[in-house]
Amino acid sequence: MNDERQNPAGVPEVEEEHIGFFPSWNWLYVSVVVYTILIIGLLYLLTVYLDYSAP
Amino acid sequence: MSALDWLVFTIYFGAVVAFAYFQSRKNVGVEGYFLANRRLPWGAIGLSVMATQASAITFIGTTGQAYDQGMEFIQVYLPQPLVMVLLCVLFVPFFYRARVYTAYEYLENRFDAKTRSLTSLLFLLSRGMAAGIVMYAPAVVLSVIMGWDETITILIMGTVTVLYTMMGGITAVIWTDVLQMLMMFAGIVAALLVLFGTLPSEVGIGDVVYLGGIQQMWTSIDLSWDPSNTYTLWSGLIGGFFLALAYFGCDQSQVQRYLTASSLKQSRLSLIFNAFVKVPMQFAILAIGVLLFVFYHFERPPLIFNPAETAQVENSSQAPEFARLEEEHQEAHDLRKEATLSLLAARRNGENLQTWRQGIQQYDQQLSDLRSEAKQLVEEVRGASSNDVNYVFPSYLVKYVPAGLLGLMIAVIFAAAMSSLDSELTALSSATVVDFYRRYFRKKASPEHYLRVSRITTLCWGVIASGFALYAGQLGSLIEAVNRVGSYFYGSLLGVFLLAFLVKRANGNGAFLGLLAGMLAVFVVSEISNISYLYYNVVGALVVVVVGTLLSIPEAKRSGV
Repeated sequence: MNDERQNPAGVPEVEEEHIGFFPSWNWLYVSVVVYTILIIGLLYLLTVYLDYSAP
Repeated sequence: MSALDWLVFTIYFGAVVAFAYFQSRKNVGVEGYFLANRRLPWGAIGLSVMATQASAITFIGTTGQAYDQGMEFIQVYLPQPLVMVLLCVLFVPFFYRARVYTAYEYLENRFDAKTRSLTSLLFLLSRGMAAGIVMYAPAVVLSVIMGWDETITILIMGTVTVLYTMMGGITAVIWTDVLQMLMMFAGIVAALLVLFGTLPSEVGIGDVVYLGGIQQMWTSIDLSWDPSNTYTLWSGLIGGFFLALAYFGCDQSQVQRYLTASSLKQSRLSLIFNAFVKVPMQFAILAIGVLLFVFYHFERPPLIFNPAETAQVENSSQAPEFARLEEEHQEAHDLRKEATLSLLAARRNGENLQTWRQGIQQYDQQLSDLRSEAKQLVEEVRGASSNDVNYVFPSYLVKYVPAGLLGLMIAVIFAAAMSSLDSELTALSSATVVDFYRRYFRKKASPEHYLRVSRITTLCWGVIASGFALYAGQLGSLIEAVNRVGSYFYGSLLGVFLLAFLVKRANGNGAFLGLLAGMLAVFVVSEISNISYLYYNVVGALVVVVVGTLLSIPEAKRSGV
């Protein structure tokens, strides 16, 4: 398992490092999930509110 | 094309070749040739991942599809951001830390040589032919629309791409992909602006949205549960998730990209970049199709956009029937145009729109029915299915786009094709050299020897792909068969990798037999049910994981795992 935690140069990978303004990778991943939900919601709103087919 | 178009087109080719040559000087040895010495930044890799996925047919086919069916195709892309997260968490760390050249090489480290060889062989067979189709499909469209010779188009596209890929390896490929992807972005924006520009001056954005909405063209989410329908939210989220995971996680043409990163962090960031950008980009491409639909309310669209198919029907015994359809099409279009202009005037004056709206819907339906009838005629005459959706956007470009921009848009179609082809070639070459030549034939040789063999292999795959593209028109059902076989193994391949990452006790025999069982299961399901092809990947992956795990248990018990 030790190999799994180190990069090829032998330097330990830091999972909790800052990624831009995200405090850690987990925050970035959660933001992607939230983004996906928002996109689906937005497309659903387009589907409902831009449907002018009904009389 | 005008002189200005040719100038723009020539500048594109010159820039790609010069850029590839400049970048290729940075390569050192086989690791440089296949993995850019693992030193590329996330931005370049991210754009290359995107360019590899977006082929020319993605660009011209999906706009045509949106013209016919609206935005519903977007649902297939919705799980991609989630897939990118799973790749970052599960797949990328395993590949990156294993220091492998190919995804399949990892499977030998984890399982055994036979599992690696079978998965790599399946990849080579499928992708080798797909590389030919990447060239053939846009070449056919351009030959029909522009009157260019199909053979010459394929040879130019193939020769330039093979040359820069052969000389520059992955470094040249990724940096030219960056250039080509930026061109595609520019092309999408230009297409949207030009489409607005060619609408009547009194038609505003609000009118465009309204006219699209009358025919439900903005409908992007279908919540119904129907496994036989590819374009529902559930098919997209479930089937599309497994398809995208298999493509980005197990296909060497994508895995190779993120193995070139200078660190695990850069590798992950390239995928996160795709998570944020891919869906909006696909939305913009589909919006071009909806705008085309609105545009053709004011200009009469061709009944069939492919002029070659139209000529075929007009010179057949079905010509009188086709002429009748053309006449009715003209009448219906004139009536729809009149109703549309009246509706827009009433909208501006705040009057009741119901009568005009119903009129437009009625004529829309009539035009759609006439187009379906015309497609049926084409299919009867040709004895093969019509692929008219691929001609909708190019047909518009040739007729309505101003000089200079046409050259840019044709260059964008070339860029889309070449940026996919170059990635296929480096992936095919790396799998051939690393998984077979170095594994079975020359285990010890100098770096110069492997570099020479890698270049020759790239050239060979380029020749095979070009040859396949040149004869693809005569292969017909074989292409369909190749696509079908591809859909059988893609999900199963994913199952093998999931088994490797998630099931500790899984072993080589379990993985190998599980892979065979997965492909068999997909074949059976495709024969006895009518579920969407997106679900084949779910079936394949799950069967491999279950069968692979069960078959691994006895051996695991014996060895005490």
